[in-house]
Amino acid sequence: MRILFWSDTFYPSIGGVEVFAARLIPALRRRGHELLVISRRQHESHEPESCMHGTRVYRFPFTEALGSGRPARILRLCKELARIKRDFRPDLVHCNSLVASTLFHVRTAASAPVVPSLLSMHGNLEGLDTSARSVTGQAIRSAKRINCCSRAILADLVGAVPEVESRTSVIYYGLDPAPAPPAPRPSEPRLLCLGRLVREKGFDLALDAFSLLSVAFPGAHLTIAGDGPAAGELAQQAVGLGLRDRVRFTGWVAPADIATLLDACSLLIVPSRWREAFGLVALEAALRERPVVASGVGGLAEAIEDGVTGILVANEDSRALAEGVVSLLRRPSEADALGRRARERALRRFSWARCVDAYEALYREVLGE
Amino acid sequence: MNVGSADALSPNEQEAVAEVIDNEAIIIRVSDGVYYSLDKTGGFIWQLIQQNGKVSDIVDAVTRCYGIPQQQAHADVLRLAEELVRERLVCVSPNAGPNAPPAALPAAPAGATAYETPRLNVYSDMSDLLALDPPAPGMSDLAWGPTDTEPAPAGTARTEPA
Repeated sequence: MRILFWSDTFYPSIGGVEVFAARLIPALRRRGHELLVISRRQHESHEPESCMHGTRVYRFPFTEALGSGRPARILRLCKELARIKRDFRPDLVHCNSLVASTLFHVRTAASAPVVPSLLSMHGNLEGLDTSARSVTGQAIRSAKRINCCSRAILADLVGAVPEVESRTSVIYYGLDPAPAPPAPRPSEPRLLCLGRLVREKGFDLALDAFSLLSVAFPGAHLTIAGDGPAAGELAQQAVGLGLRDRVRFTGWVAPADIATLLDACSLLIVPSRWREAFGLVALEAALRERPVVASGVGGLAEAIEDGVTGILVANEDSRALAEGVVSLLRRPSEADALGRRARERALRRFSWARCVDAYEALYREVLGE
Repeated sequence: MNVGSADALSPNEQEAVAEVIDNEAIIIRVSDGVYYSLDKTGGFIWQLIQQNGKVSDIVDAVTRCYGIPQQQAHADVLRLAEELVRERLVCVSPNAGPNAPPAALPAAPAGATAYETPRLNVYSDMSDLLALDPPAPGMSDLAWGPTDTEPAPAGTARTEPA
């Protein structure tokens, strides 16, 4: 089938949504589908047209056109998009984003050929206008099917737009294990936080928790891996807590290095404040047999089975986070068992092949096959 | 506000920034960043409003261009006009009286017989969405191709990737 894939942000941008799209597209192409990607040009270095694994990728300065205050720029862009759609002749449109540029998807939905659309929800709708007057609400209501990356996101969607419930589904993300088997967990307490350094990820809570347990575990170290606007504040916080020598900031981490980073840790902390859509990082840790201590918010409660593959604690509670970590540090054999069960569960429930199979089946359903 | 046949309509220049290409209009309400669009018949009517057209003249133009009953055109134009007024995109000059017909009617859309009830599409959350995801610095003036500056001339060949 021919799939027009809208993804506002796309590789080489790195994030859960972008990585998902960049992996799904070549996987579908290998199964014989034709795809075309329309995304946002986020940087001058991004080519307006390029080819990724045999799939044409168009990038447009969507938000710049929308923010220009010049309706003609928006109109010309709509016409260019309509031309691309007309030339490609998709069987369906898969919209992978729900952001400002979704206006262009909504505007071109009626241009020939008119085809059914699938909307993927990768984030919660908190604070968004979902009324029928909004772009967000129109993209949701006009989709033939809406897939959510977790039950938490589904609940959020149905709460906001109940009338679409019968058209919804959940397909979890999938990951394949790295070829090398997981390394044994280090015997010394090596704690890891991994993700974008933004307030919502709650890494400041992990620092507070680490401060609470650092006296009882003088050999413990914390690594905070990732980059983002909160980097400076977090570094200052570590100094302020007297933990400069025991907290390491790695900066940006290449996706290929994540397995090595996880192998070097004894457990992962995911202290997110916001309702994570799923918590892909927990799945990464599971595949390396690392237990996770996480706030039990959003999709994290699905990525982690509390007491079986990790420990879920109350949100925004650094003391509870510290207690969860300490309970595993004091019982390494239990931590090992959680890690093993996490990997078994990840291989069973969250394989990449299962994810691609499910999307392929959903496309067929959208087309009424 | 009720709009009458004798009223003249004009864009509310304090509030509405609008442009039309091929009978497709995008309108931005500047005070709160709400975006609107009008397609086909709606875009055609917006161009008549841009000429400060009287409602009765707009109804006549729509009737003539699309070959639909005047009663239907009248109802649809009035409904759209009232909606545009409600959204503060259009000003009404009551009982404008007889005035000169518009200098030149906008071109009737191709296949003008395919009348579509004019509909104002509203995108109420654009301001919020753009605040969450603002334009990137240095990217605002970046064109994506020849069509970003001027409409491409008819027949312009576009180089397709191999």
